[in-house]
Amino acid sequence: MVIPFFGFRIMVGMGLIMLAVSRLGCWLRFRGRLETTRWYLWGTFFAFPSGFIAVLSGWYTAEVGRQPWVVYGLLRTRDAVTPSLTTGDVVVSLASYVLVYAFIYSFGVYYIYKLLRQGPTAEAKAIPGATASRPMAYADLAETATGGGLGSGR
Amino acid sequence: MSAMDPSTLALFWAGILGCAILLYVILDGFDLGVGMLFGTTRDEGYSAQMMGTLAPFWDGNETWLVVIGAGLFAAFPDAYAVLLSAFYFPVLLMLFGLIFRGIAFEFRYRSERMRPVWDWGFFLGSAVVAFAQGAAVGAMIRGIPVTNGQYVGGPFGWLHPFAILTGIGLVLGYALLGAGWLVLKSKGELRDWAYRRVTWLAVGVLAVLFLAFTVTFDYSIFARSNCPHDPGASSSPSLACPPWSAFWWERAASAMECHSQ
Repeated sequence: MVIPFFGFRIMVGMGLIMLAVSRLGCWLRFRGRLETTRWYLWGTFFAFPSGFIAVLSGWYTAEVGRQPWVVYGLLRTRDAVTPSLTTGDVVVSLASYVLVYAFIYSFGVYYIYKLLRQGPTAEAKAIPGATASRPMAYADLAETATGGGLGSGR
Repeated sequence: MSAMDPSTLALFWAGILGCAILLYVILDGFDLGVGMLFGTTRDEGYSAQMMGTLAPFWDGNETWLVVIGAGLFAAFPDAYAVLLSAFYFPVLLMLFGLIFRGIAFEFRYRSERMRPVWDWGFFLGSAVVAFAQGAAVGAMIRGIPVTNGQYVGGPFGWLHPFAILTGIGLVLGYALLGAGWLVLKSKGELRDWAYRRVTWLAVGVLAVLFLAFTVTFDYSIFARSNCPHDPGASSSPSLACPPWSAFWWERAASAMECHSQ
């Protein structure tokens, strides 16, 4: 019960932090001090993993908290095991998930870090090639976001 | 498994899933197809244009796969359990393929050094997804061993020359859809390039279809089929129409029905 207890509270806490950051930002913007308040800008920088942490701790809450049930009150986890799967199959698939995710996320974090290091490089303008499927395009130059290739100095 | 008629609700859900599968095959078919054609050119101009034609649509297209999975789980849990047990590793490979082709849209513009890796991921990912889906259909037509509603065939029970044939068929079929999409959406050189590939891909698809139908006319292939009471389904007139997708959906729908009985 320790994991769901803290998992849930960490998730909610992260939500409150995100709310606080956005409200505080709105207020500072209203006062015209958004871009000059150093402590707040550092705060937003350190708050960037809050979304990831909230998602993960939420999953831990759900997956650990529902044990020993798969469907609460109806189906127990031990009765939900796929009969045709061997332990070896499960180990192989779990290990491959871990490998694929580790590979993808290392590069994802590295590319996010590169974007952060680079900082805003141009005046904000509409980015035609940016869609929900390419969220990082919003953080980039218009020329590279449209798929025209890499910008100079990279 | 008695020969009782499926309920109206079961037919309704089979219809919904059939529509979702048809939409998925047509929509994600063209973008998986473009992904495979992407691997056959080294021209960065072509590659960027191909990515550009897909970027606004691809993830919407793949959402139909979620509709199919969730619908099958909710409406035909027995078929869902058998399907995902029988195709555990093909589905795993399919998910990895979808992951690698999905991130390529974003990652290939992040790094010049790593770009070949993401491009290979896009190409191989698309091909693996198409092959896994085609092979699963072939394995279902041939029949997968089921006892008391449980799959009993082992992790590679689906592997058979016929499943490999249908896998190749779907790879060619999706590539044909992709070439058609490029002809529709691009101009100039890339359009001509795609147009030249349509003929050969169409010939390839027809050749595989011909071979698949020739093999299935030999009814012995249905000896282990899950629908022994209806061996003629694969040769019914509705299946003689060319789109591979019609073939897909009818087989999937009848497979679901016989599992839900």
